Amino acid sequence: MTDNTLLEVEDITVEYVTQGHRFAAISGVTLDIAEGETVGLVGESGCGKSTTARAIIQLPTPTAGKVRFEGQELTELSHAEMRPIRQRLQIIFQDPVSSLNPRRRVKDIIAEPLIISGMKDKAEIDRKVREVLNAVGMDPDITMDRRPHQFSGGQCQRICIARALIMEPKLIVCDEPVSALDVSVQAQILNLLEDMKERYGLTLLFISHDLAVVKNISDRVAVMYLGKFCELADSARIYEAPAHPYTAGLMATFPEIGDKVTNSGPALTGEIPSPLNPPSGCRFRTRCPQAEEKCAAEEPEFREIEPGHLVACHFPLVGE
Amino acid sequence: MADNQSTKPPLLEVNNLYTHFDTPRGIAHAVDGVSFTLERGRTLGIVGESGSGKSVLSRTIIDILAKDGSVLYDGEILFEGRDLRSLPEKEMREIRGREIAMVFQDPMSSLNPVKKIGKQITEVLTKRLGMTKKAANLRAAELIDSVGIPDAEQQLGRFPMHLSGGMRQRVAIAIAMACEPKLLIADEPTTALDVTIQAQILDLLREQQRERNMSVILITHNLGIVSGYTDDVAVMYAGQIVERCATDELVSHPRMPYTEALLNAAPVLADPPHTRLNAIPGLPPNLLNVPDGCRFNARCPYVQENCKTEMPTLTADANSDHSFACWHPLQNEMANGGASA
Repeated sequence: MTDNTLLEVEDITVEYVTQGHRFAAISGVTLDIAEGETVGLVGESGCGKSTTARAIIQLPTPTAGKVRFEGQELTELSHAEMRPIRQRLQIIFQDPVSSLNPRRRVKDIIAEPLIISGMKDKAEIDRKVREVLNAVGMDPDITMDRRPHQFSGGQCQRICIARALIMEPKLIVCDEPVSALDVSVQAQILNLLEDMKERYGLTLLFISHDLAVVKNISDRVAVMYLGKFCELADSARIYEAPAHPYTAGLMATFPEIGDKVTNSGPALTGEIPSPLNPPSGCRFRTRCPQAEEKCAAEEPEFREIEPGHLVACHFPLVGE
Repeated sequence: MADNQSTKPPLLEVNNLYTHFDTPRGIAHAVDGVSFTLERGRTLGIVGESGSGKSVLSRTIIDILAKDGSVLYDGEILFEGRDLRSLPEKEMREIRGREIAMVFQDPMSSLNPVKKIGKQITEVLTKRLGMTKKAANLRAAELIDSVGIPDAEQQLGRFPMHLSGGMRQRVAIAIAMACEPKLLIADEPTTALDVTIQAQILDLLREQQRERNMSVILITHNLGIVSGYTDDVAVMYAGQIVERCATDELVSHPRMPYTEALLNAAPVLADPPHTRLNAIPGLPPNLLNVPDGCRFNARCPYVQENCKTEMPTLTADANSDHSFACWHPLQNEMANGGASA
């Protein structure tokens, strides 16, 4: 860890109980995020991306492990103690329309965090709301008195970003913020997030299942499978030389413009196993094209194979 | 267009089709003057953003939109030369499912949650094809097997809730294939699925298409999917087809500025991190109140005066099958360079 580490996630596990079974939605997740950095989290549905994001903001507090934000341990805090910290730790969600109260006006939605934090000065609240609306590219005079249904999905996501920005957070967790948007609007929001990051000095944890989106916005990328990290590296490096067979498979199946799909069949066969009953050893072995006996017997350690490049695989595609 | 036109009509020919919705707020121009032809054994991609009319177009073809008078139609849909719009519902029912089948985006809501998988497949076989129960059971197992579901016999006794999203979509495809349709319309068949499962389902669709020499209309918002899995492509914008040609041609030499903008807006894996994306400014027009002239004019970087008043029609380029609706199309050789005529 370096001096400018903003967030330290150490070996966190989140367990849920369902139908009498205890199962770990995520386990052993460790990640440091430096100030000003964007870390992308990519994986298929059910791999634990959102659970990781929520554990970081203590919704709920992880079952085990530590989360330190600006040097402060969050897992031991009470709800009341956590509240002032939440101002600096915001989240935006996938569906912008359902994360805005349909009955309230935009200015009330955006001002609410300020009011909850105790600000009473009406003129100051108004000034701040106008400032963040301008920042996200919405005209305050037109938008402030309208309600969410009068805006498109992309505009609602801008409003959600404005609401997250108004408390001047350090870290914004973005949980699939562009997945519900059309490609032309997606590009607008991704560009906006980059601009806001620069303007407000933000750090981002960006979750998406879209590899190209994650690569575009992230400095480093973590790939998750069935509740665990399987690879973590610089964004450019992981795409240039994926070390985990799952990362390589994800990239091979990602449909890109100009790709002509060959007849060799999909690179990844089979389906994601149930997290209630994960495979022994390496969790990916049931779908891995190069699984060997060792993979079933022994769980691979998440280890560094080159500086800053970690992988959990007995037989990584990139040499150590 | 096709050289066998004199002998046999194309499988599907849509001429100047309009589908308008009469809503309390006015008439929504969901499909507004669409024409295209689909030959046997070909896969046509229809690509566009939300609200461009691609799903309404497919639902109009198989005639499953509301029948309460709130939907207004005009134009022709010729299937093997017969106009589907003029057929009585009884005859249309014979075509729907049997000759033209459809696969939808959400496999959970297109399957009956309280009926076993096997029953949902055999029902089609006994009722539509008049098979005996025994024959239908055997055929259902074959179908399940052909769409890549393991333990076919055992799966027939399960309910949709027991299956994953990818497996449910395989079942939906098996049902669509039951009557050996000549045309399959797949409306965003993989949008609800993960990327590794998406590849499996798209490969399956292509395999079925080749084996049966079926024609496929693949509706998607994803240009990467269009690029990998279709022969021809039609780009829709605000209810109209604005460009249509062979898929390779579209990707390498788009002529309509909207297509170019759409191709450039998506992030590309080959680009380094933090590459600035070419967002398309503004929003698509409101279908209740479509603009005069070209519908893309307010967002087009190459807009000129006549674009705002005169509507361009979809016209084929000289000596090619490449059609586009634009007054100032991109030059063929420098299309990706971003220059206009």
